Amino acid sequence: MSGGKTDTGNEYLFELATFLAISARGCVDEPPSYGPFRLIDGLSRLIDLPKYAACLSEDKFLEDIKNEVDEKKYLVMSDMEGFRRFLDELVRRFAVELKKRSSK
Amino acid sequence: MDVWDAVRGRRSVRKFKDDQVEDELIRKILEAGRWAPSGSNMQMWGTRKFVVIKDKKTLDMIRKVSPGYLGTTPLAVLVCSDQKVAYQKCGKLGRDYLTIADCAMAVENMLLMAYSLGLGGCPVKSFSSTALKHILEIPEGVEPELMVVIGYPSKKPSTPPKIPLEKITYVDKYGDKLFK
Repeated sequence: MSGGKTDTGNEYLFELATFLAISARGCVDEPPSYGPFRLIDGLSRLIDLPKYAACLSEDKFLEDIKNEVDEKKYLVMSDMEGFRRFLDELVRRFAVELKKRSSK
Repeated sequence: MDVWDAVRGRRSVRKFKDDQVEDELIRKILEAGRWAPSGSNMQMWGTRKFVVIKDKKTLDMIRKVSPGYLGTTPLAVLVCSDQKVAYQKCGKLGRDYLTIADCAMAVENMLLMAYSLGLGGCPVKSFSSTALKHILEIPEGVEPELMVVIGYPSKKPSTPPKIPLEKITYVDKYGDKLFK
């Protein structure tokens, strides 16, 4: 997560839930572009869940996605077109991975 | 540091080292905020309040209820406005507009001072006022306006594009360009 360490999966889950609830309220009044930003930031945070929850294992594909998200998420503040392209490419990668996993 | 260098060099920093910010530097940052202009000199009535957050647990709670607070920092300053006093002294304009402008001017001073001291900061507005009021026990009538998260930068952000002066500057009449 972009913040401090939590010790257990439950604590981390609570942190994620807090983030989502507060983001939902914020998005009612905030600029429209904050919506996709919160979702993509939430995705990055969600991918960290296995670090805190013993029952989950880390996922290389998602780890790569997280690294890319953390590198490019701020495009939303300066280059909306670039942000859109980044999201399109992200979605394409998910589709390829989905198909790959479905064919196993 | 030269004012121009500070204005041009400052960036919104979102990745920080764990190093603590020395009390002496915190005081300088707050002083810079205190010396910011205020509408109708409202600052004299204490309409602008600074809540310094240094305690690790409190910072962690603040971060969790502030989606715009990215990364962890050893310090945050919440700039609040006393809306009751602002209304008493300066009416609706004071309460609804001047307080926000005053807090924003204080935050800019703080950010420039932080940068000049080798620190980095980021203004944050994406927070839950409801949650902050509860966590920090902010009394009724006082509104959290803007937060500044501060620390030693671990990475200096690249320079973002800025709109050219030619596109935003007019002379004598709106629409007549000053620079062509």
